[in-house]
Order: sequence, then structure tokens, then C-alpha cells
Amino acid sequence: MQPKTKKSFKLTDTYILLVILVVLFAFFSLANKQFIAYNNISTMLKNMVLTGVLALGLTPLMIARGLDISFGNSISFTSVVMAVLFTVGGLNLWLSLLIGVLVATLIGFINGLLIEKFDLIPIILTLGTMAILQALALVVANTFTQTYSILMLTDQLYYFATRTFLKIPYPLFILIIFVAIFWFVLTKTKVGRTIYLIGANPKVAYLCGVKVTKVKILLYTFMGFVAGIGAVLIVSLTGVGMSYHGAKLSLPTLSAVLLGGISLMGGSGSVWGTLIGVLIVTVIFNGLSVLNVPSYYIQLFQGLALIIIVAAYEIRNKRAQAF
Amino acid sequence: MPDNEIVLEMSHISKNFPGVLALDDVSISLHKGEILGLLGENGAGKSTLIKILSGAYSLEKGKIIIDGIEHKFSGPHESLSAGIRVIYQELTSFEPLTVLENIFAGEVVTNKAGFVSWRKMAAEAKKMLANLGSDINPFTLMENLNVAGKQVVEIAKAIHGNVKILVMDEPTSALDEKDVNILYSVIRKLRDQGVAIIYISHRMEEIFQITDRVIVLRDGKKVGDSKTSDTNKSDLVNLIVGRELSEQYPKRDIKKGKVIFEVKNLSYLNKVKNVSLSLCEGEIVAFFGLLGAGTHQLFSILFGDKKATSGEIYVEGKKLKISSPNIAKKNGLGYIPIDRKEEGIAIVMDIKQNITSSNIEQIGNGFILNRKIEKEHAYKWFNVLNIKAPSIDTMASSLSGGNQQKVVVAKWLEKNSKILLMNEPTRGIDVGSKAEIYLIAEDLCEKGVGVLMVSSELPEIMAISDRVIVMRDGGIVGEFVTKETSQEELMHIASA
Amino acid sequence: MNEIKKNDFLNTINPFNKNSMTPTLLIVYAFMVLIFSLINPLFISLANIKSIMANLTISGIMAVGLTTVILTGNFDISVGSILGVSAIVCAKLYNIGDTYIPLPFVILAGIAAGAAIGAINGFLVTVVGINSIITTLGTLAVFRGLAYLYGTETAQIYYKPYVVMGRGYIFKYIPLTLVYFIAILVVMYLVLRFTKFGRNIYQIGANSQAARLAGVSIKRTTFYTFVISGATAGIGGILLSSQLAFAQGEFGLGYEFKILTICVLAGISLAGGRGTLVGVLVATLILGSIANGLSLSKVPIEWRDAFEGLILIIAIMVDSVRVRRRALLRA
Repeated sequence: MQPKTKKSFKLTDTYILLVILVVLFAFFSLANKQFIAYNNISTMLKNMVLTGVLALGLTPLMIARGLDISFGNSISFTSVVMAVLFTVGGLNLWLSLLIGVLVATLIGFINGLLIEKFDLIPIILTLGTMAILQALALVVANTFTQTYSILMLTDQLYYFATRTFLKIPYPLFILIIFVAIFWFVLTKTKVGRTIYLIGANPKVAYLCGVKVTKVKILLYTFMGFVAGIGAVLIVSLTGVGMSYHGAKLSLPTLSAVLLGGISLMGGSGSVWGTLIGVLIVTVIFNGLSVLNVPSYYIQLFQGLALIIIVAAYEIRNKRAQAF
Repeated sequence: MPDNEIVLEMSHISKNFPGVLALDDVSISLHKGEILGLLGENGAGKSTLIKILSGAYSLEKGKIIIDGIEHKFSGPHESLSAGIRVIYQELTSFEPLTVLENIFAGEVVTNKAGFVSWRKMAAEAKKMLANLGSDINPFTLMENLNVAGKQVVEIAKAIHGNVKILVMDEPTSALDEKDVNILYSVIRKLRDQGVAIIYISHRMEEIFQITDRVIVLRDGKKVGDSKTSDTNKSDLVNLIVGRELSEQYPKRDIKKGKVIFEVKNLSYLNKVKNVSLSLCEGEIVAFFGLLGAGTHQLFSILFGDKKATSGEIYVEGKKLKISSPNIAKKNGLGYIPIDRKEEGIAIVMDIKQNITSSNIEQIGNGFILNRKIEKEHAYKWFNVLNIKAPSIDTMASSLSGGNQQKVVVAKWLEKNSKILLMNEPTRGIDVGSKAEIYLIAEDLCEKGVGVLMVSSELPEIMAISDRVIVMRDGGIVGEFVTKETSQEELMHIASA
Repeated sequence: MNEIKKNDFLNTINPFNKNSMTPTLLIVYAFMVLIFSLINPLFISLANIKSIMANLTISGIMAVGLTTVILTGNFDISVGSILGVSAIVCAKLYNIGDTYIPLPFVILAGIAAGAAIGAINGFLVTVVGINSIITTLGTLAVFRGLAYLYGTETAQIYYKPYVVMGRGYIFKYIPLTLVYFIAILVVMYLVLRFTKFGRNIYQIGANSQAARLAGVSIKRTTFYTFVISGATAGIGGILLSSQLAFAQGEFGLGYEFKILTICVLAGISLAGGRGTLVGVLVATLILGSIANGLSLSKVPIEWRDAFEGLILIIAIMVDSVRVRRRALLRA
């Protein structure tokens, strides 16, 4: 068998995904002209930013063989906290946002600590955290405001959500910055290499002197931080802190990441893959809603997408092994 | 007493693997009710012979005749029906389940209605255990048994059904003395029932206590076959060892420097007992021990993978608590693990990434990983160590064992380790790469590095080490200057 | 020989594994009852007990099914969605114009719907080879979507015998659903303990390598466990729609969480091969009573979910520590 080099493998995957993206985009544009209307593109961009930021946060974590499905509910909880602090608590806007982000980061840290110190199955633990966070979001919202949705309209946030710089909306800038940072860290820094090493083989990394546990806890904490940023984004994009913001985010984000080539086994994946995955997922779900497909269909598709993606990669792996 | 009736004949067995003749015209015969000891170093061909007998390997040349009928097994299940059972070292048991379920693994005993009858199973299990002289309650959970108990259950599992020939591979490696006696009585009971037993062990004491006859393999050939009572330990040791490295090269005379590594009274549970040693710059100290000696455990502790329960370690005079590989690495230690695929290299990464994996912090300034520097460093070792691959971008999975090992070595050379721990560094490697690795080790010594090496290949130890430390049952039983000892002496001391 | 005869019966049915969680659980349960009844004596009133019993049985039945999956070392978090689909199937069958569908047929349809989805799960895990967590995460979404799709308007059930099935009592005090629960529990216990299939399940979870070497068909057995899990979820759907006399798309939303918690709490180790249904019985009692107890103690409804999440986390930590301790001892 010809000795494989890594580069050739990755490129073909990305190209296939790009082709799929273009095809889907074309399909939806033809199916309904509204798809490429300015309003819709702007909605798509908003969704893309949110999913994108979260998917990027998940990327290094999953490369290192970690997993977190509680980030959606973390966003719910955090956005509620921010809103309550701002409206009921009367705190300064920036302080409220900051505290929210800190809270989300702390949640990520707790996830990481429990998973690594107790050797727990990540998805099950974060399932538990997810439930607690959802409940807490409702508790906080109800206790202080008797509703589950708290208005948080401020000039600054509105400004942030709608104004543009060089024709690019600010939120999109955040995504671009994220992409740049993550790409840079994962491909050009020592930390990035360490993350790939841990994903490739945690025991080897350990014996190379890598502090595996510490790094993984850091990655979980960072995911928490990313969720916090997600909360800031959602509060500015929608104007409310709502206890149900996040619940629908987990599945599409996870699908995007898996589509982009991140294996559940760890060790592989890239920022570009994730990005394309996010684009594809955004296009699909936005396209479906433009076609007036009812929301429950969308959930159906989300699940179907997840299964098909994972099955496809699985089957391909099996075939590769057969040789 | 061995019957005169021959139950097994393996005649003129030869087996070829790519590049290596594992067995060369080996013939053995086994009688009913006979306990036959099978001796030989690692790689002598014992396990190949057994795997052919059990059907795990295909029979190329030669015949297997059981009770007068010739057999050609196409898989392990066929050997089972022919009455052959093998108990390997790694126990495959259902820990959370009961003893009787382990004995009947995969089957169940049913009553007339077709439902599982625990009563019947327990009674049968109890009978089988009693036949082995054991009174273990069949309802005991497997995980609540000690190693000896699990051993007995494993034997019960192996012999239920029709068993003519039982092969036991190093059965006492995890047992302590009183448990060994229990095992002996079990084996003798089986023998009295007419079962023929092949007993593989390196422990001389056991061979002389339990076997009727003994066969020695060396380099794939049978070099000894006699009644146990007609031989003695020295003779056997001489048969087992006694060959030189095929490539002779004079060992360089390297001046020893100061002491860079010291260990005092290191202990770990009952696996490592009160070990002390010292290592100087430019020295290669080999560790020799048979199965269960504790050499691998010792190295795990020295590199911080396991924590010693007592004792002290000094690196260049400084007392250290090596509580993790990270600390070991920072203090100049490097570790070449015994299992290179699982612990030595990251298979999915390429050569240059592997070479730099222990030294990521130094590849570039600040946060950035400087790819140019990475390539330079990788090229350097690629050439110096003569790694045979298309380029430094080749994935590690495509490399041969020898080249993979060179990558592991390169990893620590890159880190400028001063103390290199090598655990069976040339296991499973072709002759050419072996020689290259020896040369690399000597080059390191000239530069002042100290090397500690676990090896089970005596010729290798004789050829390249300055000193040899022999371990047995977790403790040091001998320390020699290599020039002043012999393979026979080492083997003699290492085996009980 | 005498040694065995003494404990023979107990050993044969083996309700309590020596390392079982059950004694601890019973203590926890007793403690819990004590505290709740002190806070609000209504907790141990007959009416309340009847109410608790009637409700916990659905979770209990589904936990029995899920147990078989976890025992082999897999997961099934789609059970909530399966319940929803099955409930809607049954309710719809009572709303096809004026056609009369006999009760047994409806019940069969509900169970079959569940089993069919279970079969899909089983297929994806054993044949295609996808990790069971991701698979069932996917089917959770797919079938929840389907449930919403066909359950947009609530489908009412007016057929009395069907409703009585879920709401009825025998001897005035014992809910029928409790009878079903106990019956299913006992049957599954017998299957796990006294059939080859049941023992295979334990062996696969205990050591799948050894099981394969011993000739157990891992794929087939695993497949069937998913079918069983789906079927019990189907039964859950039947009973829920029966108790509430209607069905809609939200039915079962979030149930998978509670049922997973019951199983882990019961000592069904996530590592596989360990745990008995007796623990599931007690764990069901505990989790079934908590929601009730908390509401009687005037704890706001949102805290209850947080509580259950906390219980899951504690349960998996305990499970992990138990498993690790064994592994350490083995080394």
C-alpha cells in the first residue's frame, strides 16, 4: 500500500463538502426566490454566526476526544442571567454581559473537572448538566420576572446587532475573528499541535509529557466561554434573554461539526471543515424554513442529518479498513 | 505416571513468517498423563508451536497426530473438538459475573423446559472444581476472587468437555508460593485423570517440581528432549541460551562520567521490592528478568507513569518526586515504551509530528509552532537515524516496526534527554534496524547520555551493555559487569 | 455440598448481587420518605400514594426495557420520542372516522410502533456500526419531529376501556398500571436470569471479547435489546395516552433523561454487565416519588428538573468510582 500522507486525504473531503454546499445553495435558490432575498440572507448570516461560533468552540474540544452537549442550555441560562442582572438588577450593561460570560465559563469548567477527574462519559455528564441548566434558566427567569422571556433591548446591543463595518454586520465580524483565531491556534501554535496530539492518542501524549487532564479541562472551560459569547450574541440578535434560547442549538451545531469531518474518535478535524459544515447546515435549515416547511419537519431533518452524516463516515471508514 | 500411550505427535513442524523461520523441523511427542515442560527464550518458537497446535496458525509443513488420527485445523474451534485446550496468560473472564457463568461461558445448562438451571450449573461447576481440588463456591463473583482463584476457574473452564491435551502458558506468573502449590495439586489431579499437559514456564524450580519430561527450543529448533530426572538446571540453561549476536561488532570503550541517576529502595505494592541502582553518564545498564520479574513496572515508575509506594529517585544529585511523565521529561528523562503502537507513537500523525511531539515547546518562539524549524529538526533525525520512508510527511502507520521505533528514539533525542529508559527497544524489529539502534545507543553514550534498558534478549545484553541487573519476583537478585558474566549465569540467576 | 444447598434458592433467583446498590437504595428511599412526610404529612396519605404509584409505572416499564440496552454497554436516549410516536399511533387509531378498532389491536399497534423504531436503532448500531449515543440522539430528533408532525392537533380518545386500562384500579387501591409494571418487571427479570438470551446480554456487557470468543452472537443480541427498549417505550406511550385520554406531539418529551437516571441510579453500570432489575424497582420508586414529594413540599416546579439532573450526575459519578475501584484492584 502506498504510504499515505495526511494532506491528500483532507483535501478531497473538503472539496466534496464544498460541492455539496454549492449544490444545496443552488437548489434552494431555485426552489424559492425568497431564499436569496436580502432579508433571508441576513437571517441566514445571523444563524450562521451563532452556530458557527459554537461549532468552532466545539472543534478543538472534540478533536481532543471531548464532547459537550450542554452548551445550548448554558446559553439559555446565561442569557437569562444577563437579562435579569440588567433589567431587574439594574446593573450596567457591560457588567451584566461580563458576569454572564464568566458564569458560562465556570459551567464549562465544572463540566471539564467532573469529566476528567471522575472519568465520566462526556455525553452523559453533559446530559445531566443540560437538564440542570435548563431548569435553572426557568427558575431564575420565573423568580425574578415571572416570565420566561426577558426583554433586554438596549441601544448598544441593537447597534451591535445591526450596524455594519465595511458592509459586514458586526456579529459576522465576531465569527470572522473566531475563525481566524481558531484557525491560527489549531494550525500554527504549539497549543494546537498539543490538542491534535491528545486526540491522536491520549496515552502517547501523556507519555510525551503533555498534561492531558489539565488541557482537557481547559478545553471544556473554553467551550463554556464560547457558550457565554453565544449568549451575548443571542441577546443582541434577538433582544431577549429567554430560557428556551439554547435548547434547539445543540443538534444542528453537533451535526455541523460532525459533517465537517470531526470524528468522534478524535484526532482529526479542521476549522475549514467545521466552517463548511456550519454553512451547509445553515443553508439546509434556513432553506427548509423558507420553503415553509413546518418546524417539526426541521427537527426531523436535524436528526436524520446527524444519522446520515455519521453513517456515511462510518461506512467509508469500514470500506477503507477492508483494504 | 506417564502412560506409554502417545496422545500427541507433532512431527517435523516447520513454520515460516516473512523474513523469519519461526520453527525449523520440530518434533515432539506427548503421552497420556504426562506433564511436559516446554522451555525456551522469547522468540524461541514456543508460542508459535502452541498456536499451530491450537489451530490459530496454519500448519505448513509437518503433521499433527492425536490419538493416532492426523488433524489439520483450520481454526481454533476445530482444535477444541479434538480435545486441545490452551490457557493463555491473559485471562478473559467476565468479572462482574459468577464463577459458574465463567466456566460455562457462552453456554448455559438448561432444565427440561429449556430454561437456565442455576442449580444444575452450580452442581456441575462444583463437581468440576472439586475434581481440581477446589472448594470455591460457584456463586462467587469472579471479581471477588484472587488471582489464584481465577486461575483455577480458568482451568475449570478450559477442561470442561472432552479434554485430552491441556497447554498452560506461564500459569504461575501472577501467583505467590502457596497458590503455586494449589496449582500443582490441580495439575497433578488432571494428570491422574489421564490428561496430557504441556507446561510452559521459565521458572526452573517449577519445571523440576512438576514435569515428567522437558523439551527445550532455541531459535526455532528443538535442542533438548529428556526426562526431567535425567537433567539439571545448568544443563537446561545451557541449552536455552548460548548463541551470539549474528553481527559481531566490538563494543566501544566509552569512559564513564559522573553519576546522573540514582534510585534508592524503590518499592511498588508487591511488584517492585526495594530496588536500588545508579547510572553514570555514558553507561548502558541492562535489566534482565523473566516474566513477572518487575522490570516493566520499574520503568513505568521511573518515568512517572506509576507512583512508587516508597523509595527515592535522584537525578543529577537532586532528589525528585517523579509523579508524572511531564516531570520526568522536564528533568531529562526519556522513555521508549514497550508497546510502540499504543504508547510510543501516534499512528495517525506523520513522522515529523511524531518526532517533535515531546519537544513541542522548543519548536519556535512563544506560542507559534514554527513549521520550518519542525521540518529542520525532523530532517536532522530522519537522516541521522536513517529512517527509511519516502519523506518526513509519511504517516507513522506506513512505517515498519523498526522505523517506527527509530521515530520514537528520535523523539527523545530531539528533547536532548540525558537519561534514556528503553523498554524492550528491539522487540519485533528486523535485524538491520536492531543493529542501527545499538549504534544509536552507543553514540548517545559517547555524548554523555545514560541508558537504562529492559531486555529479554541475552545476546543483545551481552553485546551492548556495560552492566546487567537481574531481577526476579520484583527484587534485584544480581548485578554484574557484563564483561565478567555470561548468558548462562544471567539466565541461571533470573530463573528460580 | 451443604454450603450450596442452604442458599440455593436465593442464589438461583439472585435478587441481590453481593455488590448490589439495592440495599443503599432502600436506605435512601426510606430516608427520603421520612423527610418528605415530615415536611408534609400528605405525602404518605393513601390518595397520594395511589397517585405516585399510578404515575411512576410508565417510567418504570420503560426503565426495564432500557436496562437491557445498558447491560450490553449501549445507550438509548430516543425512548421519549418513541413514547410520543406510539401514543399518537394509538390515539389516531381511535380517530379514523367511525371505524372501530378492537382494543387488543390498538395495544399491539402501539407496541409494534415502538419495537419498529427500536429495530431501526438496533440496525444502525449493529449493522452500520454507529455509536449508540449518536444514533439514538439522531432518532430522538427524527421521531420527535414525526410525533409533532402527526400530533399537531391533539387526538382525543373517547373509548372507555382504553382509558380504564391506564386509569383503573383493582381492589380499589392498586392501580392497574402498577400491576402491568410489576408483571413486566418480573417477566424481564425471569428472561434476564433464566434464558440464554438474558445471560448473553450480561456476558456481552461484562466482556464482549470473551463473549465473542465463547460464541455469543453479539450483533443479534444487541439488536434485540434495542427492540425491547423500543417496545417498552411503546407500552409507555399506550399507557400515557390512556391515562390522559389524548395524545399529542409533546408526549414523552424529556422522558429519556428520567429513565436513564433511574437505570444508572439502580446500579445498572454504564460500563455494562452489571446490575439487576430489583435495583430498577427501587430506583423507580425513588424517582417517582421525588417529583411528587418536591411538589408537596412546595418546591417550585423548575427546581425539580434541576434535582433530577443532579441525581443523574451523582449517580454516574458513583458508578464511575465503583467501576474504577474494581479496575484498580484488578491491576
